[in-house]
Amino acid sequence: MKFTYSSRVYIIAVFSALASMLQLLEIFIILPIPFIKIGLANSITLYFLKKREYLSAFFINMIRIFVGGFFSAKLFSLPFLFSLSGGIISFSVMYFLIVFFRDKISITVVSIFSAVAFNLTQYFLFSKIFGGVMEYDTTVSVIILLSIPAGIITAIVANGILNLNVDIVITKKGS
Amino acid sequence: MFRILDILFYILIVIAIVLPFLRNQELENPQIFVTAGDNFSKSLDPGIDSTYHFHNEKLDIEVQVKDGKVRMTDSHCKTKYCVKYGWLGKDDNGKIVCMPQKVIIKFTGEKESKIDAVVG
Repeated sequence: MKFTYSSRVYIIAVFSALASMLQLLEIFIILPIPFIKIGLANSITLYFLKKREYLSAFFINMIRIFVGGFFSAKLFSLPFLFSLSGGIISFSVMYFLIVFFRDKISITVVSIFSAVAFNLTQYFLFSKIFGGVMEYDTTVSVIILLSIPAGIITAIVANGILNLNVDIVITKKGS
Repeated sequence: MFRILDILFYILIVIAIVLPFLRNQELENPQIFVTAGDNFSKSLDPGIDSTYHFHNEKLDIEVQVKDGKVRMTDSHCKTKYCVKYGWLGKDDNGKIVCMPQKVIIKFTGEKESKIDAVVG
């Protein structure tokens, strides 16, 4: 399957919309512990990182966080800032793992670490802002444990997209 | 698809999960510390069994202390994760959190390591 775009802007726009839709769908999935999200939208970011479209992946990740904040009426509120911080840290973790380890680690590990980074960032920010101190306690263990299935689900979705063998081609103007 | 290096990362995750349980530091003179944002903080004695109701314009919670443990019995929030958390003991090394009301309930005190002395 091949999709041809004349500019990277179109790719970012289309897949940001898709990622935002996945993020908004997650609102209806309530998990037993706060701070925990499945992060289905992350599968799109993961796909583009695996395809070495790092800039597109970054912009898709950021745009879907802003869109999610806008549609949940929490733009620039504290939960949005937690989400944005988590998004930046989790993207950094995914980027680091994919760029430095390439094919030596599976996408499942990248996804799990991304989910852990996202949820722990929010938890530590919350602890620091409202508790005054960031503690590595048993709550962290619970958050890591619950991030693992979230990471696995995201990896399954990302693998599904990768297995579709979708080629996204950017054509230059005039060619 | 599984890769060899995955094992290393899975071991890291297991260590990260298990680490807080290995620390197991006992608290001396434990107190229950209830905070809600910057405006409210209260220290409760875990030795006195009682139910406390904290209420102001941003806060509405009920906290129960019994047998040296604490739990949130009621909270004015939608999801009530804090109530579902259940009992928190001084050795549990965790905290009860209510994000909408910015409440954190935890045990504080002087930490004492289980190691009596280190002979070098």
